[in-house]
Amino acid sequence: MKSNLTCDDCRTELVAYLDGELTPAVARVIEQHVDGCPSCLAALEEHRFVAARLAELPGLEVPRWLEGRVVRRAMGARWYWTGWRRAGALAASLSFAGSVALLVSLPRLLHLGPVARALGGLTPALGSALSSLIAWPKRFAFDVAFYQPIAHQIWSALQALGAIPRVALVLLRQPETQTALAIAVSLGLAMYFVLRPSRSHERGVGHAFYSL
Amino acid sequence: MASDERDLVARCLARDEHAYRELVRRYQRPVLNLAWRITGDAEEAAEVTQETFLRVLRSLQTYDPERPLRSWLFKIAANLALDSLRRRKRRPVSLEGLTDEEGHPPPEAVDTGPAPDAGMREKWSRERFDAMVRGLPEHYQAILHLRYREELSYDEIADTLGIPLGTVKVRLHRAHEMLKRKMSAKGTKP
Repeated sequence: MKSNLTCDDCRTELVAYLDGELTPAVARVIEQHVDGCPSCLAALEEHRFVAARLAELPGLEVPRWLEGRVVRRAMGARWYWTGWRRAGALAASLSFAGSVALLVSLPRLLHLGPVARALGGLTPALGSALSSLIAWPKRFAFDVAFYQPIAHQIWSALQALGAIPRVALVLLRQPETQTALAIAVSLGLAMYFVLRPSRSHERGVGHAFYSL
Repeated sequence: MASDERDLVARCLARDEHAYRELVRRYQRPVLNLAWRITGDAEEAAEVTQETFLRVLRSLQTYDPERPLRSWLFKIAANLALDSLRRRKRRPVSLEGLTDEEGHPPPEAVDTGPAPDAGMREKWSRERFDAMVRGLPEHYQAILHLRYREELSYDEIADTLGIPLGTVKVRLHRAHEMLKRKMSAKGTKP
C-alpha cells in the first residue's frame, strides 16, 4: 500500500486493521497515517468503540427442550429403521391385513356347507348384515383413494405459495390447535398408511377394499 | 480439526447418544444466536437450530474432517435461517445480499461525522446498541455476529457464508459505518 495514504483510503482499512486482518506492511502504513492524522485517529477510536460493543452483545438463552428434542429426533429416526421396530411394523401390518381378509370373507364363509347348516335360516339375514357392514369401509377406502392425491396437490401448491408456514406458526401457538392437530395427524397418518392405494402397492389394503 | 472434535464426530457416527448430546451442548448457543441474528425471532431461531443439528447428525458421513466442525454448523444454520426468513418475508434474501459491493454503498451506510465525545459514550446501553444492530440487514447482522461474538477470522467467515473474502471486509466496514451513523442519528455521538 502506498505510504502517502489519503484519509478515505485509510478509513476503509480501519476495521480490518482493528480486526488484525491486514498484512504487517499495510498495518504499518495505516499506523503511520493515523499517528499524524487526528481525524483518522478519531475514526479509529469510534470503530474500536463499536467493536467493543459488538463483542458484548446479549445472546439468547438456549431453550431447555432443545437438546433433548434434537437427540430424541436424531436417535428416533435411526431406531425407526432398525430391526425390532421394523419387524413390529411388519407384524402389525400382516395382522391387520389378515383381520381385513377374514372380515371381507365372512359373507362367503356363511354360505359354506357346514356353517350354513349350523346357522340354518339365519344365513341370509347374517349375510345381508355383514355385506352392509362391509359396504362402509369400502366406501371409505374409495373416498380416501379419490381425495388423497387431490389433497396432496393442494398442500404442495399452498406450500409453494408460502402461505402455510406463516399461518401454521401462528395457529400452532394455541393449545387447542395443537391438540386438534395431534388428533388429526394421528388419524390422518393411520388412514394414509393403512388404506393408501397406490400404483406401487397394487396389493395394498386400500386396493383390496376398492376391488371388492 | 482438533482431536477431541474428531473423537466426538467418530462417536456420533457410531450413534452414541452421549456424543449427540455433547455435540449439541457444545454448539447450541452459537448456532442459536446466529440463527436469531438472521431471523430476528427467538422461536424461529430455535426451530432452525433444531433442524441444523438434525441435518448435521444425519449427514456426518459426508463431513470433511479437514474443515472445522463449527464452520460447517454455522454454514448450515445460516442457510436454514435465510430459507426460513425467505419463507416468512416472501422476498428474496441471499447470503450474497446487496448487489452494490462495487462502490455503491447503501444510503445509510456512510458517516464521517465529528469526533466522539468520550463522556457521552457510556450512555449507550447494551440494549440500545443491540436494538441498533437488530435494525441492520440480516446478512450484516450475521457477519457481525460471526466476527465479534464467535471471533471467526475473515477467511472463516467467507468460507462459512460462501462469499468472497473481499465481500467480508467490505460488509464489516459498512456495518461499522451504519452503526456509527445510527448512533449519531440518536443525537449523541458514539
